[in-house]
Amino acid sequence: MRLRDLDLSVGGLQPGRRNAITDVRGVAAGHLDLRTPATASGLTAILPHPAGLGPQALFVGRWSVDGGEGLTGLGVAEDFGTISSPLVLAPAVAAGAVYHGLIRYGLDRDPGLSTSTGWPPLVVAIDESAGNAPAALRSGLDVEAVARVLAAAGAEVVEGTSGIGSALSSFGCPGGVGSASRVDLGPGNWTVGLLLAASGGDPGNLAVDGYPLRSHLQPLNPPSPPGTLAVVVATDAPLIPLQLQRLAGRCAIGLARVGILDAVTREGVAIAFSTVPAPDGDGGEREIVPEPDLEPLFQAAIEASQEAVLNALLAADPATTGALSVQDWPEAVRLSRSQ
Amino acid sequence: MRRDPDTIDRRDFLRSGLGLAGLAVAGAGGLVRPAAASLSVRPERVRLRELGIAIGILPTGEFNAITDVAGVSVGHATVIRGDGPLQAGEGPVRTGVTAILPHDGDLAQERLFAADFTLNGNGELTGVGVIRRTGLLATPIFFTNTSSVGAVYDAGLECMLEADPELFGRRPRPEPVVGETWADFLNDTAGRHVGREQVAAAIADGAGGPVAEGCVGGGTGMRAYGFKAGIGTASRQAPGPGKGYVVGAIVQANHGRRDQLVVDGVPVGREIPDLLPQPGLLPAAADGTGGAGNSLLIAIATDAPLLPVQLRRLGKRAAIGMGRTGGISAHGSGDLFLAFSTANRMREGDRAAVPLASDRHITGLHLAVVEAVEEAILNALTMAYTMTGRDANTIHALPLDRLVAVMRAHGRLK
Repeated sequence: MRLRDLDLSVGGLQPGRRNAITDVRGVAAGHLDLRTPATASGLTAILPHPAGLGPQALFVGRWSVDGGEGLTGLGVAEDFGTISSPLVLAPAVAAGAVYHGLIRYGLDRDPGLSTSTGWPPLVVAIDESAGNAPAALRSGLDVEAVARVLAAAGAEVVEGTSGIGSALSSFGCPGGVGSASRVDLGPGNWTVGLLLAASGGDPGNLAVDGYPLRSHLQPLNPPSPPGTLAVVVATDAPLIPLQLQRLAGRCAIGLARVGILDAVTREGVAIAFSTVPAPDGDGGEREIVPEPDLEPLFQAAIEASQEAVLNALLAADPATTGALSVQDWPEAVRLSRSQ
Repeated sequence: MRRDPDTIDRRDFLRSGLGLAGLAVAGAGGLVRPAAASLSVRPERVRLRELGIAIGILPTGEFNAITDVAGVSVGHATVIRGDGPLQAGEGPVRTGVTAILPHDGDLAQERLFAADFTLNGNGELTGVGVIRRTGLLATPIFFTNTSSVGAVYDAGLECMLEADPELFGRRPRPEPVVGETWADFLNDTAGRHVGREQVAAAIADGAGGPVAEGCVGGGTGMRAYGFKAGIGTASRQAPGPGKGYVVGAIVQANHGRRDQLVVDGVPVGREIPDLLPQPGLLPAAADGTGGAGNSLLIAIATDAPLLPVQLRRLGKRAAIGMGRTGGISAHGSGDLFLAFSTANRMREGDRAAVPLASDRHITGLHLAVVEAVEEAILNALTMAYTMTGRDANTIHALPLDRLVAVMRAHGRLK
């Protein structure tokens, strides 16, 4: 179930057809689930441009809580402002193994490992704060698993306890991964789509479009332990690295508004990229988005990051969501609005 | 617009070999010429290349100055007044302001991509917040002495407001870029002798072509490696598509210990250990630093169509240029660098596509920055003359004959 299935929404901008990161043309996402009797975990991959494409770097920008941790590929991403690797969200304990797998992918594309053909790998290390055995994750999330998650990437985005969302907990409930998008933004009719891994959050702070649910959902679950909040933002607006940093930073507003970014958040990162290729060869022309036209893109990031968190929560098995019983949400929002 | 166009053609004056940077132009109240007597005894100062020392491998631009980047102009206002004991608020005064005008149009409306880089943060460069946020430079760049930052900021803003009454309606709101270094050994710092008049004069003095160097403008009271220094500039032609690119640098050099000074790879500072800054009336007030200065401001201009993320990389390479002259960026130093591209003038709300360079040619630009910054710092040293300031404190100029002798002894000059 998604937020809009409850006739609820966040903000006033229009979502895309899938209301997911894959509404940004060329972007694909997929999961790999690792399941054993003792282990529930997985990987989530975002391919910023179509697999099989030739050399191409994309502009990128990053925002993080307290300077961030657990993201590889930062040297190129921050100095050159570019990426060319898929982004893989992986349990922190498996980040090295996943990096190894992405090197394999890069070598297959270009034995010289250039910054326009997949090097350096972008692994977002997620603190699952869960009981998975490290050894099981490191053996299960290997080079093969990376190849499989990249191959699985497509236009459909499964939310909730899939991929990296398998062992996550938010607002005292299971899950997970969520996605959302906004379209028809600014004079370029641009799209902003994002996918996130939601961790942490106190149900007492949960809000839908700014309306708190706490008074109407009793008893409240205990808060989820703080894990890693990670957001990947895609846009087809021709933003440059500095602007993408700012777009990434706007996700913090959405995450705070929905209630998941709070005083106990330790790890949080947002990475934004533009699917308009960075100049190569002798360079070329590129439209520059002027300052006022950034605002609808920022608004889209604020709205979509809230909705993606709520989608992550709702997509997890409603029977296990306890006090956040889904069927009560519309009434809770209605009561909150009337106060 | 020159302040004294009838009596001094600035370009001819500089070409005459009498480019005595401390010459303050008559006609602006508060500005005085150095005493004629001191002019007459001042040894001729020349640029590094005129000594036969050429840094690096890339060709220079026409004037070997930041003004080789089309549209960039530089102006100075120099305040040299009084001698003898320090009387705070009165003098002696050895300071000024340098204005770097990134293009000849309306900067607030036609902004340039820019980025800053802090090598060591013990300094001030106002306005970098908005540059970091938007990647756009919308104002002149001013170099002055530490105590005058506020006055220059205010005066710069006033000049901008006069030119554009709607300035505060513009988004992003332009903030003057004002950098400083510390001139206290020669100058009445507490007196804050730079204001509206000098800022307007520096802007009005702005011109392309040759740039006055040494003890001029913001560099008037400065020293580097224990020698008199100040403003220096240089340029390079870098490989690129078509006619290639031009990179120019201008520095306000006030950094480094004597024993660190390196010229074209030769440890000149260790070969000339004497002529350290010399206390005058108050020997007890010797600065005890072995002649160390602190702080280095650098502005880099290029006509390559670079984005802020690329300009930040150029800014980092300025540190290598400084390092090649021996500096290590001391803890007390404010080593603040700003790079901008003149290629694209960004108008508010304008969505036109602009040409952009890829990273393919950026290594050549890195080399150009390194070489231009290295030579600009050395030009500041070879062009500055020996200056005596407050309390009769003296900072000696780098003796050019001894520099040449050292370079010869190391086989670097015939």
